[in-house]
Amino acid sequence: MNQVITASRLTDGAVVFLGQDRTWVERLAQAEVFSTVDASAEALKSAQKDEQANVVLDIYAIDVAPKAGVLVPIKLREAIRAQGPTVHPEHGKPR
Amino acid sequence: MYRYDEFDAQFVAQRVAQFRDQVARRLSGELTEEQFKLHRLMNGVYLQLHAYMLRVAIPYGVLSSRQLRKLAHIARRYDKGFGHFTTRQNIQYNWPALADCPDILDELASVEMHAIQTSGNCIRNVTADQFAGAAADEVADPRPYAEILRQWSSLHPEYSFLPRKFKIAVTGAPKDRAAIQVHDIGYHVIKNNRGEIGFAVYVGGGQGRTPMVALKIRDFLPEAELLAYTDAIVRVYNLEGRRDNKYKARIKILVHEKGAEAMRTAVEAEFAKVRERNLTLPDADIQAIQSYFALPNLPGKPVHAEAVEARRAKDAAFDRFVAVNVTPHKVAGYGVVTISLKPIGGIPGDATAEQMDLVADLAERHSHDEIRVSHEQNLVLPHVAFEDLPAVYDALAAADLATANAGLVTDIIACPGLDYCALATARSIPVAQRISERFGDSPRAQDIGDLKIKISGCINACGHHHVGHIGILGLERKGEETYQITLGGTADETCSLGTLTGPGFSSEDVVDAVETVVNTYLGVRRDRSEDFLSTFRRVGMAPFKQALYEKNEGAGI
Repeated sequence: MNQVITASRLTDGAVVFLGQDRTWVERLAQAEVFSTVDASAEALKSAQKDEQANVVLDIYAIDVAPKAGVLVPIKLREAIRAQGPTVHPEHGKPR
Repeated sequence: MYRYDEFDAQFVAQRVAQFRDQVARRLSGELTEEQFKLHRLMNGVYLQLHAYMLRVAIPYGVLSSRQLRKLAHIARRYDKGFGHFTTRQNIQYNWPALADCPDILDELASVEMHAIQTSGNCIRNVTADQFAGAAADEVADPRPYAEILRQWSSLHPEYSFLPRKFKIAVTGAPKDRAAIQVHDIGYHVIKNNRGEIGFAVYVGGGQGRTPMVALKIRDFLPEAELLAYTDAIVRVYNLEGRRDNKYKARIKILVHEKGAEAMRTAVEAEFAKVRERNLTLPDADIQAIQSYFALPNLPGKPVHAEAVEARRAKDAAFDRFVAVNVTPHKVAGYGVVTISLKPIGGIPGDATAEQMDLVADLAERHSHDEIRVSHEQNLVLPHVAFEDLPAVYDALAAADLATANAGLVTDIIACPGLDYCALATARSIPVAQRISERFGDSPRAQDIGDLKIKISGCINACGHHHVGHIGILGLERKGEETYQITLGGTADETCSLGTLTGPGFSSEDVVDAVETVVNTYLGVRRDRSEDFLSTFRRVGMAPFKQALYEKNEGAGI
């Protein structure tokens, strides 16, 4: 099991991920990956302070798995959040 | 068109100032998301998958060039250079920053527009026939009535917290282009045998997870009683509508549980009381609003413009555009031009800022400064002289806006789906794009004739799939996108809901399935004059089902 923590940024609604230094980053590749349920739950819990501090909103954990050498979300919805609209690749995010 | 009076301008300005303060307090942390959410939704601001989304009301789909230019400017300055026209004649911006929303609303207010009541459990933007005031088949212009309803319902204190959202549509022509029978209230403007204007009243239509065709509860409501009767309907709904269950809270559930007769009795009883409250419209007030919508000065012109006929004879693409995208106008020598926002393989309803600017210029030069937005996600120039058609066509063609497919297989309605929408369960736009590419701009697409494909990416049915001749509903099943197909729906005056063909199709197979449906139609139609819907109504589901499932065992999942 691999999970990362995601949220939407308050100022512009952009998709962000909890990074390795516990700041919020825009690219999934820079997100910290939690390999146990406990670690993910703990990170989720500690990230809630950023919701209370009005930095982000809607924080939750998503499942990710390696695909062609990079970690990608398992669910299509999250893959689209991580990459941008499939119909407008130019508005997507670099990996 | 309607111009804001002092009251309109004041309430919109006040509302922008109020929202500016709410946004500032949210960004400073004074308001939590829970406290703020209701305020942002009341001003049309949603949080979608990638960003905030701002939904701007376009009352009954009517825009001036100045307004469309402002929408282009907003797309360019605050967004990513494009906007998305919706099935409720609104425009959505997909990428505004929260801090910019008050400035955007200020910009909108400067051209008499806003985003109020584009969300929330209130009376939403009143929609109308996109050909209103121009169509040759019109009994009366529905826009003045839509405007009267807009004024009455804006910030209405009694109706700001209804059990659920509430949508009203008005049409003034026997050909229903406004889908009134799938609205909470549908008004059909008619004349009685004494030649008086009034309305046939439909209540309780809607799509979503429980689609229902509206029931007619009044054959003829006198024009002056429009507000009194609307008030009576909404009051009955406000009192009796189910607030205990979000999924049963729309008026359609109340109407269909109660039955047409009981609903009629309740509304008429309330109507009798409302009339004492003096909501009857004075003639002078109706006329005052109607004067804003007077037909522009259109000098009579010959029905056959020589230059147009000559161009049609030598230019097949132009000829097709005129045949497919130009509808008869009530004044001889003019046409109503549909500008398709469905280029082959494009995203239904999207327009770039440059395209919006161009359409605004064309409207100014050739359509008396008027543009319309259709619920089918196209734009319309309502008053174009035939002799101007070559110039309009050439300008549109240069901007990839001259696709001659209005009403054809590639004129597909699609909701934003899982590419943008937080509620979606599957993508809609890529399916529309692939279907569009499959049929293309070919003679075959012309031969298929009128065919409305409508695609929704979840059961909320923003893509109107229930009333598509071919409806497609995207769902998620075991982590994969799957698409159910319905046939035989229509939102016109013969309104009916589509019937499910059977098991759904994978994303990979759904375009083949649609093609199978179309080929089956071509095989069983009597001749070219029998369109898809008529054919389906004659032959029923059997041949389609057989073609989809029996000939190709295992194609369905």
